[in-house]
Amino acid sequence: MVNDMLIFIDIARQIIGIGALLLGSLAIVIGALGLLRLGDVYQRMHGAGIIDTGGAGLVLLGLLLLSPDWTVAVRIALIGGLLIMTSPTATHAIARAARFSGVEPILSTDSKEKEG
Amino acid sequence: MPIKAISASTALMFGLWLMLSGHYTGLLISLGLISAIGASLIAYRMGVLDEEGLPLGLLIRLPKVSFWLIWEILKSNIDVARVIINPASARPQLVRVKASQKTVAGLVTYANFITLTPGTVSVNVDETKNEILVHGLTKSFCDGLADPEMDERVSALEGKSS
Repeated sequence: MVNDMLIFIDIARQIIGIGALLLGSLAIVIGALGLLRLGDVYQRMHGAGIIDTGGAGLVLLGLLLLSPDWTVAVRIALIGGLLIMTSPTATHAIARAARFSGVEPILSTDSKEKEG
Repeated sequence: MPIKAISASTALMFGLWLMLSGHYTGLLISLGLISAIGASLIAYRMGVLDEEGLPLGLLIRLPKVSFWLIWEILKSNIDVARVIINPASARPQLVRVKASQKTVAGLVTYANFITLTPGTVSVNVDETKNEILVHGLTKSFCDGLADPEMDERVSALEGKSS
């Protein structure tokens, strides 16, 4: 009985892991599509944001569930933590650099805040 | 209190060493401990072990918001994906968001959280006015920022003492 239970948990873990990997890959494809299709630098960063969060996060979650032993799992969790701290900083650096070098964002007409 | 910061940094680094090394003999563990202490002392001498370099209270309280943050990230991932599939629906906006955090580390955390949720990117952080200039992909993302929930949650991370 207990053995059956363990096998069931193991299969469920693998299925969820593979599902997370597939979903993460889909998120990365959508993010890459966004990089190509959106209007200007600022909008394209939102596409990159999908790759950074949904894409990387789900792929790492899938790898975490499929990892063979706990030392690998710890390393994957650490990579996830590092990415969560660094990727928004990098995105912010690009946005700030773009603004300071005078790239004006395309703004929708119903935008409240004009640049000042 | 330098002792508190040094011992906290030593504990963090030694924990990291234990997780990553995979060698558990007496000699190697004591060498790892000595390196952790040495690195902490050097960091203290460099002056990076202050509230900004090692915001302990913030780090300890971080797990409390992580599940909420992951849920928010997933929701806005789907919203941004929808805009990407139909790029004509993008209505980019710049908005100024008031931040209620009192420490620099808290303000940076708030700006990072804004950037971390897809659809909003913090473009500029104004420390003096406690304002963050945010670029949003559509109006609904910017309206989401007008809701002070994220701001309040990050302020709660700072704790009451600071």
